[in-house]
Amino acid sequence: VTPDDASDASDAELLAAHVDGDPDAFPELVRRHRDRLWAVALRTLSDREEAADALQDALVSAYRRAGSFRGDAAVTTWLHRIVVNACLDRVRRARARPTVPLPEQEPASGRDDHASTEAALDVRAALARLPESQRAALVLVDMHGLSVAEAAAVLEVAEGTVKSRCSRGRATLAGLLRPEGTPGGPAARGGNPAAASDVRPVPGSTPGPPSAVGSEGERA
Amino acid sequence: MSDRDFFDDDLDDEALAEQRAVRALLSSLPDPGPVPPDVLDRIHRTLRALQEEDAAHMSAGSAGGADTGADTGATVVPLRRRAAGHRALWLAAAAAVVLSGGGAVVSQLGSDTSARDTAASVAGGSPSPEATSGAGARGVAPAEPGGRVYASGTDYRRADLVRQALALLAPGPRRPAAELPGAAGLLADPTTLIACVRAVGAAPANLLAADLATYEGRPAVVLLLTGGSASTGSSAREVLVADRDCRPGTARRLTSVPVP
Repeated sequence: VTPDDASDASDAELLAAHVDGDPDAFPELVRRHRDRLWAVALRTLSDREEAADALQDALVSAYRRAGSFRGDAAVTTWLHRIVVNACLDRVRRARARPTVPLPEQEPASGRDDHASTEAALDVRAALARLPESQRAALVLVDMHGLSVAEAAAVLEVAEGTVKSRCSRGRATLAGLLRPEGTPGGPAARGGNPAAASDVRPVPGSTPGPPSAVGSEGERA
Repeated sequence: MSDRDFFDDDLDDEALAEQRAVRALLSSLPDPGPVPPDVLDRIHRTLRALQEEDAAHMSAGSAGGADTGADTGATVVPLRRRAAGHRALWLAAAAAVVLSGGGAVVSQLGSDTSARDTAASVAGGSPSPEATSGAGARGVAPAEPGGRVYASGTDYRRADLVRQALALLAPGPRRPAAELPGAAGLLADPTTLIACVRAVGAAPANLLAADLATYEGRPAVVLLLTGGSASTGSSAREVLVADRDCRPGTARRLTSVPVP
């Protein structure tokens, strides 16, 4: 693949050319997909630096693992999968190494304070409080417009699982985003146990519940 | 495709309306935009480093598999056979290299006259009995600045190598080691580790951590280096993996990856 040809080659052809030693192929592949992959990373992690690290990790991984691409999914699906996994790895690591709790952490009393109310008003902050499996599913399906089948391929789970994660994530978000004092809203979260059970502090604040990925009562 | 395809089937009308509202809200959020220039620059630099590493491996391999660089004294066979022309052939060739125990043949670097002097600064003195027993090993020899030696038994994977290696710098216990044939040899005598580091083309002073473990299931020693090894010529950190039997003349370098 010459530089002139690169723009005409398919993603699969570029990946194969990269494996065969073409130095122009992988950069072209990155150029095509980088903005979309960046958006996935940023929306999944809600942190610019973490997203940058995750994207870099993912591209290094893709560069080195290109030879293992079997072609049973689209290259873009494969790339998204690597980026999402890199993001989820970072979330898990942040949770395994808790640092100083952030203000958004729920108070022990279960009542929401000012910081929590602020988070409820911010969709992105609310999204960041979801379990990462639900967040990743919502980012792919609702924010990036992937079909449930495409998201299932990226996340390597059944379509029913994606639907279930999205459904639970949306229900939790709805609870977080309702105006304070309304039924199911933040101040009334005690009355919305389904949503409350899914909410977690923002990444890095405290260790989350053990229901990290694929264990929050989802269906296959 | 109906929007109903995105929702659970068993939702009542009220719940479905809520789901639709949240989906609409999420889809209406502005796109984050293109990759910021500074992040793009990082990515470009990382890709260039990867390509340069590949090129270095390729040039070493194209010299008949016996290129002895002036700087490294190392003979390196590329793990990726570039320009093989056919992926299946590449995979077969790579498998043959692994199965036959081929790969990098690294000769001893320089003399070992300074090895004994440097040993303490790398391995931190004598290893603990826990380390050399091969069972229950944690971070064994708290090294002086720059060098920790572990026998974690971790199974390092190509796809996750950098992340796994960087975990060596994190505080906290390592998981108990399984049986680690050969671990005692490397840990019992710090000069053996020094010689190993030299044999794979790195400077002992650059060693941040070493871990006796496995790589893709194969007994290995994983070295986390700063200042780069001679093979990369880079000042960045690098993870370098060698066969567990890592001695001058027999050391085999399995892979090396720059730390982004």
